[in-house]
Amino acid sequence: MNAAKTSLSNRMNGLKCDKSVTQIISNHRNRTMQVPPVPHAHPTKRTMQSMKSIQRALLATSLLGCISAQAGEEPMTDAVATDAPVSNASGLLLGKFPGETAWDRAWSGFTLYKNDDNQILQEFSLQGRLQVQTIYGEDGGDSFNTSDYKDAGNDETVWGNDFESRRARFGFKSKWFQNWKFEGQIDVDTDGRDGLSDDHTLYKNIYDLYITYAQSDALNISAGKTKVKFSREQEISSKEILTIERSLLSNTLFPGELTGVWVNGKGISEHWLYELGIYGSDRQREFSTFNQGVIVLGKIGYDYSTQAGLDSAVAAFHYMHNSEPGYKSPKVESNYSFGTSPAFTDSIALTNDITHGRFGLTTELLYGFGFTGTPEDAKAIDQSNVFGLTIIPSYFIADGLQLVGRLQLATCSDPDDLRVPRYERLVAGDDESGNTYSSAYVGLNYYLYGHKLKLMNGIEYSKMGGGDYDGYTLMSALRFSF
Amino acid sequence: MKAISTLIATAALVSVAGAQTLSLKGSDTLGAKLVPQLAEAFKAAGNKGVKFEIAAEGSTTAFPALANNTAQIGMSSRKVKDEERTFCRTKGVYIKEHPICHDMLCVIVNKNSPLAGLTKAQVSKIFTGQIKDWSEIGGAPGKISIYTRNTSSGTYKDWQKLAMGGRDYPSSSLKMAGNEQIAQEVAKNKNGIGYVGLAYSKTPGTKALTIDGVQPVAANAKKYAYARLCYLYAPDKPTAEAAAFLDFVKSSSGQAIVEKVGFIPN
Repeated sequence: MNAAKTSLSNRMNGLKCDKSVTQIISNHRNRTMQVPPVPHAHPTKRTMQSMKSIQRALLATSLLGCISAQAGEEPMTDAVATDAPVSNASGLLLGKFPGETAWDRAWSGFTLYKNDDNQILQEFSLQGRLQVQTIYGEDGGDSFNTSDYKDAGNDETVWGNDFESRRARFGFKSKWFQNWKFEGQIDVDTDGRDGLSDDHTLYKNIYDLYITYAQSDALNISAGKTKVKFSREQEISSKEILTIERSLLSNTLFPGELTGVWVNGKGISEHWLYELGIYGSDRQREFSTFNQGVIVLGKIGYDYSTQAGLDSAVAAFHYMHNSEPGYKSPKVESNYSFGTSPAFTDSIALTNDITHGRFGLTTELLYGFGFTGTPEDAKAIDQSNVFGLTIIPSYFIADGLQLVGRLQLATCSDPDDLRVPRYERLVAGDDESGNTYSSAYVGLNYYLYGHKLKLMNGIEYSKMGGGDYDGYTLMSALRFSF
Repeated sequence: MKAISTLIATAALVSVAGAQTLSLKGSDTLGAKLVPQLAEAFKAAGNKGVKFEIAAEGSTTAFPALANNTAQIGMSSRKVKDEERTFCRTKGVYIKEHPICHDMLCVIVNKNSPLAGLTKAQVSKIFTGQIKDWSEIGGAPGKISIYTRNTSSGTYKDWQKLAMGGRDYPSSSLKMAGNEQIAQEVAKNKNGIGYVGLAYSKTPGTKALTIDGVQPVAANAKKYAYARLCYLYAPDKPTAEAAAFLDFVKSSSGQAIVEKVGFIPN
């Protein structure tokens, strides 16, 4: 069959057949076609039947040897056409698992149905992630580990004493009517402590659930609940971040998963990208009640990879306004960690992200304007302005093995307005806050199947000036996603 | 005589042993005709020992093939996506981009049409069936006859994405075998409209329309609405054969073939 395709393809291309040196293995366009075009081909049934007869005759002839023919000079051309149906449908429900490797085929099983030719539903897939990690740290003579984190009453699940289920999410994504997307995920509760009752249920909360109209790369309009991606580090999914945890200031300014509408796009005048969104600022298990403040997020960026001769290079400016800093909905149970809106009225990020070959570099300047006052239903806040710099270089030192570094510097106006990160709090005790935070992280990531299955290891030295933390943390993580 | 025979046999064996296979996967736009012709010309230029394997099943297939080392060169009618490049990196493949040509689709109407140009919005509405009569956009009254490529054509879908926002053609559209057939039908039908490659935009009896005021000519490839840059992708350290082929494609000889086949040299 390949020989037939070879001779036919070469004939269609107006070339002398030389199948020993040029083999057209497959051609998406003429996969089922075996004859040259018929002039003045009207799409009538009778004509098509005649065409098929001619096709069969020419196919038989071509199987016997090479036929030299003059090609037309068609760009974007398939030399032959037929209305014979060609199905590219695949997915678990159809028992078709496309892919080049066993890994590809295994992961394609999470696609339940995919068919670009279906005018109603083009794709329906499962999506999710499971991220497991373990830590050990020391601050002076005091040590801490995952077990201590478990005992500190955190809501995340710790399996046994050593492995924290950092994130567990499950959901779906789908594409409809060519331009519409509908997707969502829940946070999976694996210990049952986070629900309204003590019952053990898988459902913890809706992580995201939204609908998008994707008119083009330049215009996507979405509505629903989503992660509000202020700062470059928050833009990058936890499935793909290069460090095990994000930086301190990026988390401090992060507003959470909120309900709203947003519009974004890229490729405008080739280089520009943008995002503009407005969200209810109350963080809820499901959706906003819209009776509190709003968060407005605007971004503008420029892709300068062409000018710089780099594989990718984007510089961007992010601005976020929060009309109700520090608000926490009384509907949110006290043992939820995510309930409070950040205590900043306005936040700014200047980001730069480049990759080239083995090398990558993310740089981010962050500034937050602190809020002083008493939010509704909450205690008084006196948060000073914060400023920080994060630099994340990376380099692939071998196939699938990536060396990652990170430097963080953060400072604030008042003495105790920065708080050490999640694990370091375990030993910092009452003196977990300060006014100058610095840290250095070195890690190795090993990619078993891209970002979908990888191992991460890292060590971070950090110091909270004005506070009482000066130590290091070792971390190891397994990240799986689909 | 025996010594000469032995020498010839040895040379033949060396020749066979030295034959290298160059595998290209990806875009059917490039792989259907252009790349095979480039391959033949490359061999004719003194590289007969190179055997080509070309799999043209869509740009999406180019990058997994590069990542998995099942292709030395990927063919793509679009830029690589961030996630595709990232996946290649995590597999130890650091791909480099080689823009090789522009591909342009022109909107043609019958030469007697009073129209000289359309907007992108009008093109979208015509090809999705929202505008049904020429009088709705300033033409002579008459039901619009839409000529498209066949459903199995890659260009059929390319046009949907480029000009129709991914929406479907009306059921009344007439599906034709190729550019030549579309041009011929439009030339015969005063109410006809279709899209063809640049090489067919001057078919007698037809005229190519400006889109948003931009003429569909090679010089406007970077600003014409329905033109796109096409690429070959290869690892940063390609095999000797792949490097030689990429050099050939970008050379004046290669670009002459690009033009001959109907693409626009880069």
